[in-house]
Amino acid sequence: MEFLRAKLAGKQGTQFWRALEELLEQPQALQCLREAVPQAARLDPVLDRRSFLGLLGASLAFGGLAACSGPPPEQIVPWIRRPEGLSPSQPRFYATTLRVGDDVIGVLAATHEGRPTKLDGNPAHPASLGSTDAMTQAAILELWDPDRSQAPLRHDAIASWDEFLGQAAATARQFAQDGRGLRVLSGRIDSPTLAAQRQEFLQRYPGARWHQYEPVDDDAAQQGTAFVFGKPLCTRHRFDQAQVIVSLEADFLATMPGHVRAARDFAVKRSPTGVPPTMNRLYVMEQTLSLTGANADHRWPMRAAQIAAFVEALAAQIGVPSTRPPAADIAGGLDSAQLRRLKALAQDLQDHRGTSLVLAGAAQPPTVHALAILMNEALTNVGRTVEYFESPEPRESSTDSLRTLAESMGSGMVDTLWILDANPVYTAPVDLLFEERLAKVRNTVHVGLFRDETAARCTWHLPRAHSLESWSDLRTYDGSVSLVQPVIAPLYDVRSLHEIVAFLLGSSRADGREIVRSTWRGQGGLDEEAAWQGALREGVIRNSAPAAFEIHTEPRALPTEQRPGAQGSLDLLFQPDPTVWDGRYANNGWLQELPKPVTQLTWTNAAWVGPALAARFQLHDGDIITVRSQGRSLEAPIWIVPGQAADTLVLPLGYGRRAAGHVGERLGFDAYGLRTSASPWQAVCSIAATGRHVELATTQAHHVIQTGEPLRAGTLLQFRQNPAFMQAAEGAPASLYPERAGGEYRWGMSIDLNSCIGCSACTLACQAENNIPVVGAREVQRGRELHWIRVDRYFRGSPEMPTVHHQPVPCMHCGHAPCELVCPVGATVHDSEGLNVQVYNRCIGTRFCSNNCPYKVRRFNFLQYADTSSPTAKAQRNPDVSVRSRGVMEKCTYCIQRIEEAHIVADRQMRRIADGEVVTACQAVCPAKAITFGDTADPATAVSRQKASPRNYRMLEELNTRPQTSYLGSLRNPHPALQDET
Amino acid sequence: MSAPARTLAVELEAVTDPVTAIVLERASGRRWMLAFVASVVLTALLGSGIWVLLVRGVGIWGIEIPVAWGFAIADYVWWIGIGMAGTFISAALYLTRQSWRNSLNRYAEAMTVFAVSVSGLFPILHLGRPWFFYWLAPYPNRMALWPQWRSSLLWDFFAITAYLLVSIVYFYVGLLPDLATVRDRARSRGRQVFYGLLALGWRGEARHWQRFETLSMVLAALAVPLVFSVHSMVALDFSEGLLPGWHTTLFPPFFVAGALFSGFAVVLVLGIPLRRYYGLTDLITEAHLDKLARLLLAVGLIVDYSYLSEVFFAFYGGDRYEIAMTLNRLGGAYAWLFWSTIACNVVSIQLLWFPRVRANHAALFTISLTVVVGMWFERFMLIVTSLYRGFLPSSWGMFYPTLWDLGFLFGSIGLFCLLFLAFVRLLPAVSMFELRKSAAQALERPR
Amino acid sequence: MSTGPYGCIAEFDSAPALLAAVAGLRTRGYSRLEAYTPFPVEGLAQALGASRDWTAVAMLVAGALAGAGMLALQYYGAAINYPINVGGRPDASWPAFIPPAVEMTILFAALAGVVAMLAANGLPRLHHPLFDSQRFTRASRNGLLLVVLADDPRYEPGAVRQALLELHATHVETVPS
Repeated sequence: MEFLRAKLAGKQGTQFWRALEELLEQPQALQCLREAVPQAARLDPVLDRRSFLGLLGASLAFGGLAACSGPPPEQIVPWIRRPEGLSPSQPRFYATTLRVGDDVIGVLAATHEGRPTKLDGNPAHPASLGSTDAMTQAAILELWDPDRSQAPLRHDAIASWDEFLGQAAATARQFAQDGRGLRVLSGRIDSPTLAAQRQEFLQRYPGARWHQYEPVDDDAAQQGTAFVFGKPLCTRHRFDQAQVIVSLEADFLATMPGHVRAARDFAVKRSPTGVPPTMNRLYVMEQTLSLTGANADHRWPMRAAQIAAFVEALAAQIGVPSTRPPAADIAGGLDSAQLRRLKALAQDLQDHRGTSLVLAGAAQPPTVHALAILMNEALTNVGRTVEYFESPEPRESSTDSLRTLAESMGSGMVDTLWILDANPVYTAPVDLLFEERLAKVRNTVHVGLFRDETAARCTWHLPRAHSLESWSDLRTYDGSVSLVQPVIAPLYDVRSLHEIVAFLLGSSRADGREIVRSTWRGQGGLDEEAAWQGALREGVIRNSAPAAFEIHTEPRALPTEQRPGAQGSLDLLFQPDPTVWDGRYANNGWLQELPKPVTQLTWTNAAWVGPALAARFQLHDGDIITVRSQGRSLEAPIWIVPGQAADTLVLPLGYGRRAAGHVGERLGFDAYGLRTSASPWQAVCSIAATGRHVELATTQAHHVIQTGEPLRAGTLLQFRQNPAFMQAAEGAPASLYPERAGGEYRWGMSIDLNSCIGCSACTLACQAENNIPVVGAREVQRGRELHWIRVDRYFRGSPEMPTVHHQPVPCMHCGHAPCELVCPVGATVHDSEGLNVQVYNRCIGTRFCSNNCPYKVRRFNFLQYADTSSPTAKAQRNPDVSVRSRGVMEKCTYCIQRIEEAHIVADRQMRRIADGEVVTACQAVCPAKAITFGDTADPATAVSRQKASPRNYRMLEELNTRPQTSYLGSLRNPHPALQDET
Repeated sequence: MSAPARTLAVELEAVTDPVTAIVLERASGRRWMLAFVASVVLTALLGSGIWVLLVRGVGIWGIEIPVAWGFAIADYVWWIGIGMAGTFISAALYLTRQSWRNSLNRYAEAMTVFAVSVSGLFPILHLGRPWFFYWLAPYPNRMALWPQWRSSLLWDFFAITAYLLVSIVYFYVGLLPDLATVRDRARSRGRQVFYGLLALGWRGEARHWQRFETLSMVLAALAVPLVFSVHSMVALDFSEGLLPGWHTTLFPPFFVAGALFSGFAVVLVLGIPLRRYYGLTDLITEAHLDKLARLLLAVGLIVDYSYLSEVFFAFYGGDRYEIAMTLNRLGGAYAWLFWSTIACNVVSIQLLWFPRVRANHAALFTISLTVVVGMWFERFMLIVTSLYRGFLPSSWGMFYPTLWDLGFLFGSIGLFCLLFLAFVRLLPAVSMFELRKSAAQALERPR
Repeated sequence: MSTGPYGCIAEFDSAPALLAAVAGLRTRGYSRLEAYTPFPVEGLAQALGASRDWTAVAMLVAGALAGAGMLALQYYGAAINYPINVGGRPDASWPAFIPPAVEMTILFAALAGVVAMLAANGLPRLHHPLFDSQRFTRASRNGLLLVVLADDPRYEPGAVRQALLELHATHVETVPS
């Protein structure tokens, strides 16, 4: 790494780079050759038709199904804020709730002619406040996925629900007396109704058991709280109250439940307001780079053990009553640099008693969670920045629960097993041998959306109704409950989870709505129909969140962790995949093609290694290694992740699916193959290079930036000294041409890089809104992805401890657009409202516009990517956006269809379009509200005010393209004592 | 008084008969047959390529974002450049009374017509929706749609159209007297009819000759500025863009020189076998090859100079993007492309300083071939090195060609060869009447 | 349609001889003369009394019209019929209008020239009485031929033949029409 540091030392501090290749590579000549010589695969022009069809979802979709489906028969209630009785052309909005990953988020589903086409956040929902994340956006595609199972299967043969009812009745009779031998396995229970059904189940079958298993568990957090409070509690953080945040590998901006809300609250405290301007400060200690770490003011890569040690030292520093027998002083293990950080951090926390927050991540051991709780208490943060509450739904340790089940299955104690919407055959820890033990169970029933690995090994597979097709209720991260109402009648012959459980409870014809309704009789004040309707309309049940838990802690000696970690071995860390989560979204083309925030990989996972490790093993991106852990091994391609702790290997879960559907199978590797129930998150391993190599589909360019600074950044201190320090010395260049008369409006966008957390939700929201097709791994490899707004990511500083910046890049809608000048047929021209419009019908595809676009935001249909045949794909599309054919250029339109709709409404009411009336898809979804859109001609609009900020700048201003999209420079707020670190 | 007269008739026969013989008497021969079959195969490859292209889309090539132009455009620029030499030899040298060019201009013009036709395919095929290429032309339509006059692509569309038509006309008019000759010497009825129709009844009457010569003169005077403008337009296809490496005023003259360079190379590549296998050594002489070689060297040096000044101005201008692009061209992923260009277009031609090399046909042929290849490398290098690293590092990307890219390149070469082989067999490959004129003049010149 | 001969054809063995013959015949008062040569002979057309050559003029006019027309068309399309904002450039971007105009000027001049030449030469004409004469085929190879047309007022086979032989014709014969 020495020459690296040397290399970087030469460059001034503001030198950005994008990825490590050039910094790490061996002699350049070789590097060039490796790049320039095409892989044999690249020579093959023809796209594998079969997989392509798979991607398109054009697999044998039951023709016309989507067409003949409409609004559900039961009474559902449109969202309150839309006028009633709109013409069918107008979209209708319904408030409902989705469980996404292990998060619960309230959404508004837009339906055209009764077809849900787009999901937006429900402003009234505490976990959303109107925003969502990428996975939520993609849920709409899941609904229309033609691979969804469409009828009950018995031994893989299509059966009828009546047959199954007979089966269920038999089961009910068989276990009538005590129910021993009857088991149910579900995911974590977030639904009061399901909890109630569980209660009923246990009363009816006293000997039976109901297990909960969530591959992405929160066991450590539960044990941590259990240790401190005597019982497992849930935690709700108040980031909008926290001035100093210490994250112990807690990825609260991306993967923790409530992350959408967290991002909003975090961004609020992030904007440099007040005199003098202030910002919150985020410290992150983590093993590998997370989105939260990427946004940190101080990010310290550490090995698992180091984090624990550091936390103990920190706890001692801020006066947490010593939790250990006073052995050697705890800070002993820390080197000078760490001690320096320790002091600064401790001081900072002390200075912000009551306005600071310490939180730990799922992969951290219970002790760390406990210490975090104790520190918050010591800092009097409890009740201010953090609260604890008791979950009304029963919580149990995922792994323990599954282990008990697996063991009793092994010992033949399980006769009948119902698996509710879980896929343990794929997700269970490898040491539980779930698959083979499942074979010992006589009667197995699987309920799920897809015919997945587990379904294939069960007697029965029952298709579950999608959340957008069924009734339910869900409790979100802060404890408040919201209702789930169907926005479309089931596309196929399916039943909702509650209805199926009802079968188990002996009822033969269950009505989902009635089940949910009955749960809320006598509670939540929903007895009267009006209140119920109100709850449905609002999307949330008011004050349904449990009160904060009265805190009483008694100091106890911390259980000494048995930390895995033989000397000389590598730490092994498992992670949920940022897009396909634990694998459940594997068949979702949008999520597969979304560049994963940290790695920018698509369509696959990879073993993450740090730069130092890669250098040590002479590994390049895509080289295949063998990973050995506890006697098991797997092969995986590597990806170099800057800022990952040395001697740490990260394996993202969720890939290597064997039965996921046309899109999701045979991608990546299955990291569950190394995951054990003993320590599901953290293990040790050793690696060896195989000498083989694969091309991974990434949207990232592997080069150090040599030219310009597309992204401007600085520190809060600089900003205080001179607010305009990011402005270019020389302003915009002069123009030879006279200004052209503008129209009534002049649309423009401002993107605040200080708020942007780089979550890529905008990319997916845009894809959903604008009917952007997926192109598949091979086309992405070629650089043919179609995303209209991409999120560029830049590194700064050393490869081991980089600062990370994100920059969303939509079309700039240049006033003097280079693309327009060179189009020979005028297929891209300027309209009177400052939009750079693309005329698809006129485009003949010379592609000069793309060549001439300095921002490279134009996308081209090199082949016929859009699926124009399969009915479900058609049904999902936004009817207001035309579908582009082969040979046509496309790009961001500032959601012109939404602008036009606003025009129509305003014209009908004889008024101007109000500020904030036009909201682009990317703006709507953004959890951090980093994107502002509006009329720049009017100085009073929000976007004009943003652009008036001293941090405002235009990308590549010197080219005199006069972009209508501008940026607000990014600020960091390092601790004064640690300035030199960044 | 009568002595020279007899020699005049003899002289006239001497320049007429061997040329007509190729068309009328000589059998095709095995070499020709082999070449012909090879060309047909390659042309078929091109044909199937075009079919697949129309069915699947330009995605069958390696192009992507950011490198949205690849082989197709390189091929286009390469071919149209090759075309230039023909026009230059027949027009510019005609205007400057270089009568030695009389034995070269015919097949050089043919080369021009064929090269331009082949090159014309690519701008159309490279379109995302080729069947709409006519939208570049202004024509009346209900929606009042017009082409976008400010785009250099449109200028180029007009340039190619004009160039193709003018060079065809120029070629054909120049052929008329010789077609008449072939007509009059043809024995079989079929040939008499065929050439009779083509000759349009040309009789060589004195007043006809007069108008003919005026036309040739003015056409030549038009063709020269035309050909220069055409290659400037081709250059503007790039330099109208703002990309580093494209956005430079140097491009038009640079492209003109490059075009001449590749053109002369191809004239040599075609001429050397032509004179050898068709016994035209008395018409296309050593002197001709030597003159061509000198010309090749001369324009080659101009091209080399523009390479130099390109690099110089990048640094002299001090634009950081230009500098980065240049450094990257010299040392980046495509450095091999740049340096092979230098090897072919700068190093190899220096051998032409030596008379012995110019006199050695094998060497001359090889060097010319090297230059032709080098010029393709240059075209491709200019396109890809500017595109693959634009202004935003986030969207840098490599270009990897597919087999179809290669298929179209070699297929187009096949088509060109096919056309030229047909030309050699069907039309007089040397301008007889012009040779007759110079022969006569030579005789009348008082000794 | 006259059943008489087309004229009397004579061959000469050099360009100067041909020119001298033409001059001689004209002094003898013959006016309907045609000369056929395998290559253009300087001054021959003048000697035969050529009329004005309009080829160049036609080219000039056509070129000028095409160029001006192209400019007008572009201006109409871009500034009058459908003005639209392209890259913030003015509607009438004259510099950008020039290239197409130049190309069209040259194209139409060239085409006009060819048409003019062919028309003035009465081409295409696929049959001509002279094609029946074996002697005539030499005109496209190595023979310099002079024809006195039968419709010449002073045409009289014997006299013409006599005159031609006096003027060093190497061969004289009559061509039927």
